[in-house]
This record gives sequence, C-alpha cells and structure tokens, in this order.
Amino acid sequence: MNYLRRFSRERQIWLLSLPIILWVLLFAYFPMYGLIIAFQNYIPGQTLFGNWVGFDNFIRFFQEPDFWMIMRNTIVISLLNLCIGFPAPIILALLLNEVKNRAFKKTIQSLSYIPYFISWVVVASILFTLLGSDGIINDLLQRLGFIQEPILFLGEGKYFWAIITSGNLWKEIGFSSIIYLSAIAGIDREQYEAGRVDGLGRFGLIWHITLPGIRATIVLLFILALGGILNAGFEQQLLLGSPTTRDYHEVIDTYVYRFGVQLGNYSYGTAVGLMKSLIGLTLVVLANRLSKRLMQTSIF
Amino acid sequence: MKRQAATLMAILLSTALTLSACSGKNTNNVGSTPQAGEGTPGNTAAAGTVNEFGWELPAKTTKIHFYQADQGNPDKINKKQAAFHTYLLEKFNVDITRSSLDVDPKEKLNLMLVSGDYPEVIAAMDDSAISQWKAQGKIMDLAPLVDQYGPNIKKELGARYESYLDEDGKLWGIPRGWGYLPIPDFTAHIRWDWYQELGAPAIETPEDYYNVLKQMVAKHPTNANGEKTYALSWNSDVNINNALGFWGLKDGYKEDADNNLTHWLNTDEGKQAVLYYNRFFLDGMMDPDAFVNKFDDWRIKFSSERIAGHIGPWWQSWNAGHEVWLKTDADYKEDKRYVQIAFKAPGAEKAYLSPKDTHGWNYTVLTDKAQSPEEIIKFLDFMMTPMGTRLLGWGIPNIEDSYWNYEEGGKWSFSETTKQSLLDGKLDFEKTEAANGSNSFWLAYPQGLLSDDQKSTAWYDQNFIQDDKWKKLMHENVGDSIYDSTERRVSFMNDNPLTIKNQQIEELIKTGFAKAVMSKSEAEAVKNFDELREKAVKIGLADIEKYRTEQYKKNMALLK
Repeated sequence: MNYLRRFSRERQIWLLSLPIILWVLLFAYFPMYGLIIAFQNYIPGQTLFGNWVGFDNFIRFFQEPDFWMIMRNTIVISLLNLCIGFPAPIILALLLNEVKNRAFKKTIQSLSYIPYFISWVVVASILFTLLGSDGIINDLLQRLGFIQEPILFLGEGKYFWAIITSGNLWKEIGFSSIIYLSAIAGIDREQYEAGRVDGLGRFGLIWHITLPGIRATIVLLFILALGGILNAGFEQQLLLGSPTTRDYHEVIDTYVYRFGVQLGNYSYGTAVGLMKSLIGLTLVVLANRLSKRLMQTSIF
Repeated sequence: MKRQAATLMAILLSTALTLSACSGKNTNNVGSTPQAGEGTPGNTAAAGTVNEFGWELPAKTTKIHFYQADQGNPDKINKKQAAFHTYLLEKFNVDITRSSLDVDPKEKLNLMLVSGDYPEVIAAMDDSAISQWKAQGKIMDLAPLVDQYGPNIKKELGARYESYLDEDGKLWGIPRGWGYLPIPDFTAHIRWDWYQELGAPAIETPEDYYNVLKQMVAKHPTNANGEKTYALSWNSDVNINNALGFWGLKDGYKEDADNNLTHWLNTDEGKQAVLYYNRFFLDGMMDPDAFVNKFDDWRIKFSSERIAGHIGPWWQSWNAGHEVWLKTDADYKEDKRYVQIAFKAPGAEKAYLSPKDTHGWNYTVLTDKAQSPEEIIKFLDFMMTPMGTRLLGWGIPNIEDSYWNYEEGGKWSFSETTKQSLLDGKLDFEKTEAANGSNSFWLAYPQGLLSDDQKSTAWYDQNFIQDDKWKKLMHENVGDSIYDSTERRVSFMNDNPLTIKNQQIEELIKTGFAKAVMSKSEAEAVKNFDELREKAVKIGLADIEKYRTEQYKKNMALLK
C-alpha cells in the first residue's frame, strides 16, 4: 500500500520518466534474450532454441592456447587505465579549481576536452607520426645524440602498454574531469572561508574540504569503473597493434572479434561477452557493498 | 488544470521524441534496394528482337539487383556502374545493379540470413557461406536451370563443370573468375635504374638478390630528403607463403613423392627463408617498420625513393613507384621504375611465386527470393560467352573512354587511343571506368583466356603484355614461377573444428614470422622460429597438414 501511495504522489514524475523506462526495457533488457546463444552452437538463420551445448563455449575460452596471454594483457591494460586514468582527471579538476584567472582556466579546460572528440583513427595516426621509426620523437632523440638507431616504439611489444595508457589518458582526462569540476562547484563556499579562518593553506583546503566534498562522486565513479575492468579497449588495439606487438596488445575484445565474430562463431563471442559482464557486475556489487560499509556511500 | 496539461504535453513530447529516435529507415538495406536506375523502364518496345551482341531482348525487363559480398565503397561502386547500368538497360533490357558495403561481407551475409532480408542474387559467396545458405534452403539448385537455359555456361566450363556439382549432382553457384590466366601475381622487385648503375649483375639466387640490394643501398644510403633507404620493406598485405616460394615451397607447403604436404614451419626451407629475411634486418637493410606499415605508409616510403627492392604483388611497385613519379617528377625517365624478377634458392626445383586456382574465386548464387530465375540464368549464360565476357569485362564500347570498339556481327578491336594511353602509363582508370563500367557486374565470367581466341582476358590491362615492354619483361622474368594450384584448393567451413585451429595458427604465424625476422641476432631468430613451430604444433599443425593433404589428394583424383 505504501508503494501505491508513493506512486500516486509521484505520478507526474513517473509519467515523465515512462518513455525512458520503456526505452531502457526495449533496447537494454529485451535484447538480453539473445544471451541464450552463449549456451548453444548457434548458426545464423536457424532457431534460437536448439543445439544446446551447455558451458562448452565458456570452457573453450579457458582452454584457448592464448588464454593466459589475453587475460594478462586485458587485466594489465585495465589496471593501468584504472590506476593512472582514474586519479588523473581528479588531479586535473583540483588543479583547474585552483586557477584564479578565469580566462586562462576556461582556455585550459576547453583545450583538455578536445582530444576526447578526436577519433581513435586520428589518434593512431598522430601516434604513428610521433612514435614511428621516422617519427618526431626518434628524430629528436637522434639529433640530440641520445640514440644512434631509432627506437621501435610501435614495433616492439614492450612499449605497447605505456603507449596505449598514455593515449587513453590524453584522450579522456579533460572530459572525465568535467564531472569532478561540477562536483567541486557544488561545495559550499562558506566551508572554504571557515577553513581559511581556521588557518588552512591551499593544500589544506584541498585535502580537508575539496576532496571530502567530492568523495561521493569519486566513490561512485570508481565503483562504475570497476565494472569495466575487463574492457581494456578494442579499436585502440586494432589501430595501434601490429603482428610484432600481438603478445602485448591482444585483449579479450579483439580476440573475440577475430575468432568469434569474424569466423561467424557468435555463440562463442556471446559466451565470452557474458562472462565479462558477469565478472564486471560481481565487482560492482562487491565494491558497492564495501563502500557502503566503510564509507557509507553507495550507488544502490 | 494548467499543471496537468503541461505534464501531459511533456509526456507526449518525450514519447514522440523517443519513438522518432527509435524509428528511421534502414539505409543499409541491400536486400531489395537498387542503387541506380530504380524503376527505369526497359526497352519493352523492342522485346523479342536480337541486338548486335546476339542477345534476344526479353519481353519484360530482367531485374538483377545483386549484393556482392566484397568490402567496397558504395559511392564509388555506384559511380562506376551508373553508365553501364543504363547501357545494359537500353540495349539488353536488363536492369542490373550491384551493391557492396564498407563492412565485413561475412558479417553482412550472416545478418542477411538472420533477418531474412537478402536479394535475389548474391555474388562472391565462398564455399563456407554456400554450405551455410544451402543447409538452410535459402539458395537454389541451379543445375536444372543451367541444363535448360545455360548452354554456354556448360560449354565454357567444359569438363570442369562437374567439379562444381555436389555429391547429389546439384549446382549451388556459378563460379566467378575461373580459368587459368598465366600472368604473375607475386614477384621480387628491383629498382631498375639503380640496378643498371651496378651493371645489372645476374640475380639467380636469394643471395644474389641480397648482395645486389646491399650494393644499391650502399650507393644510395639516403633519398633526396636525407631519409635513410632500405633494401626491403613490407606492409600489412605481406603474404608470407608467397615470400617463401623462392625456396621451392608451393603456397607455404612442401610436397613429397607421395603427395604428402608439409607446412613450411616443419621444413628446412622455411627456416632458411626466415633467416634470410632476418639478415636484412640484422644488417640494417630491412625497414624497421616493415610489419607496422599500413599500405599507405609503405606507399609513401616507396614513392619517396627509400626502398630499393620489394617482395610482394607485382602491381605494388607500379602503383607506388613509377605511376607516382610520372605525375610528380618533371624530369621523369622511363628507367626510373621497378622491374619484377624471380630467383630460386640453390636446391629448389623452381621458384613458385604465383599460385593460380583455376576453380575461381567464389560463386554467384540465386536465393529463394529469385522471381525469374530462368531470366537471370539466361543473362549469366550470355556473360559466359566470350563476347559477353568482353562486354561485361571491358565495358561500354564505341564511346570516347571505351576500351574497345564493337561492330555488329561480332567484329571487335581495342580502342587504339586508350591502349596507347595505357602503354604510356597515362591512363586514368578511375575516369575511364566511370564512363565504361568495366567489370562492374562480374557475376559469372572467367578471368582466364577466352575460348574463342585464347588471348583475351576480362582484365583489360592484361591484354597487352606483348605490347608493353615492361610487362613483357616482367613476364619473361617471372613467367616460370606461375603455377596451377587448383588441386591444392582447400576450404575451411564454419562447422569444421579445424577452422579455428587453422585461424589460430595463421594468427600465430603472422606474429611469429615478424618476431623471427626482426630478431636481434641469428641465434635469436632460430630460437624464435623454433618457438613458433612448437606453438603451432601444440595448437594442431599436424591436423592441418593431414587435412590439407587429404583434400589435395581428393582434388587430384577429382580433377584427373
């Protein structure tokens, strides 16, 4: 009865949300019935309810000869993105917040967003120009006498993780900082004044007022980022990778694309995708529970 | 009241916006949307009459709107086919249009199967797709139609016709690009003017090639911009199997006296080849980006005069070499170009560089949606005649940008103006093909020599090998390295468990070959080669060898 009473009270909000709820049900939940092909040997054009193979597609993935290499690359690239790519926008937002010259602040802020709107195709081409054996970096190092022969930044696997993490960081940092800047903007200015009265310096204000003020946002985004721990990228690897770097660039998504989608093994691709999603969901639930217990902040 | 009305309006507005966002036309529909000349009436007035090509005009316009399972730019395809579509509609009362998309054709075919949205005719279907579509009853058995309406299909295919039938005598597709065309595909290349500077020493072995390239690079260490030159470079199109042909391996396999096939990873020749290419890297003669270059990157390096030799398709050094210099170098001299050459390793029987699968590239099928299959087969039958192949292969005759002239009664000749332009290296293919539409509708005809003169081929520019001194030279140099590989044909179907293994090994080889060639010492190259072999064996290389050998022996028996 309580629910009904509440619904009646909030009916206008519910009615306004109705189209969106329908949209989510139709486009985000309804297609999930297709996940059953993960447990079949599905052949395009044939029925969705036949040829059951149980967990064979999942087992096959774990038995792939390249399984450990793919998992290592996926986890390392994801962790690098998480450890470097997650705090970087927070730091940028804190720094921008400290800039007092409005024109300068706005300019830097706008410039930092631009890379987000550049496609990976263009980014790859920029990286080739910079890091190729005839690229600007090699040219500079050779002219300065630091190296005799060019360094094969894009041709040797050992550089790949650093390059892809830097590329991701460069592309995402500005855009990701927007949300933190808006969270910072929401902090009561009087708190800063009180802090100054109490003798806090710039770093003190950041540490004792700004960071606690945006803690809920940070925790929320961190929990969501954990859900994507197995999403280490796709187009970046396809565009920047080469046969010589495969041992370092092949991740779950590129592997599934090559051996699932391109060979028409949709069941296999779906099984791996489902596995990834389940791991992501589990991590989100665990992190959410932990955060609720330790920080009293959660997303649900 | 006001508040409720406002709420209602807001709901209506958001619903309308959501629904409009969800709707929208499917612009990718290749199943039924003709790309050019939609609805244009044919020449129904002349129905029943026979045109100058001997084609009897059908009473009702024959519609062939087909999807070609190749990846291609739809705008370019439409531009190229527009004029030829109109010509065929007017002269033949055949409304033919082709569509291709810039997406993976395999994915598109699967999507068609799932959605049921596919056209009457599909071209460029491979064996694997045929087996998938056949199993689901989506394509027609063409044998009865060919028996009745395709005398020329049978005549031109001759004895090989039987090889296209399945075990029940059914024909699921008409082959495209079949026949033997003795022109090279894959060769070694050498910068001709630099080679002449050295006095054109004989190149008979890989060692000779290495030494000549080394001298050339020593003489031209940098280009005009001061950039380093290399003996060899590669791009993503590199075909490892062909690059091993100099050691007598056929398409990457060695054959023993009992026709058993051994993969190059399990041969000494394979190891020798890897160490040979590694020497270029160790001596600083291999472009360090050889396995990183995309074709366009490689092309820029090549046309910037930074590469002395090449091992790859014959046309690449034309496209990236003198065809560029002709336009950019005001003082261009014809010796500034690459010439295609072949050589063989000591002990190798021959160099096997260009495998020729005479079975054809793939097939054209008629789906269960075909409304008038008889009429479609009749036109495919016309395409299969030598004159039909000429028309479809060379495009519209008797116009300014024609490749050929045609007179009633079957008399034809090549357009001298266009031919001269081709021989001078000045032919603008994009322009002429947009005007004449050559090879826009390659549904059934051969790429091999035409049966009536044993000289012409549907590839216009390959008809003048003897008139073009550079092509003639190429042919003389590498003609001996072309071989018929039809019997080695093997298809990996989707339901074959070896398909995945094969793909895994292919991927492994791409990485492992690059790693071995780019090794920093010979010992490291040997170690990397051995590791590559071990990994491939672990995945199931022996199963692949066994399967290929079985298929090879089966094909030999079938094609005897």
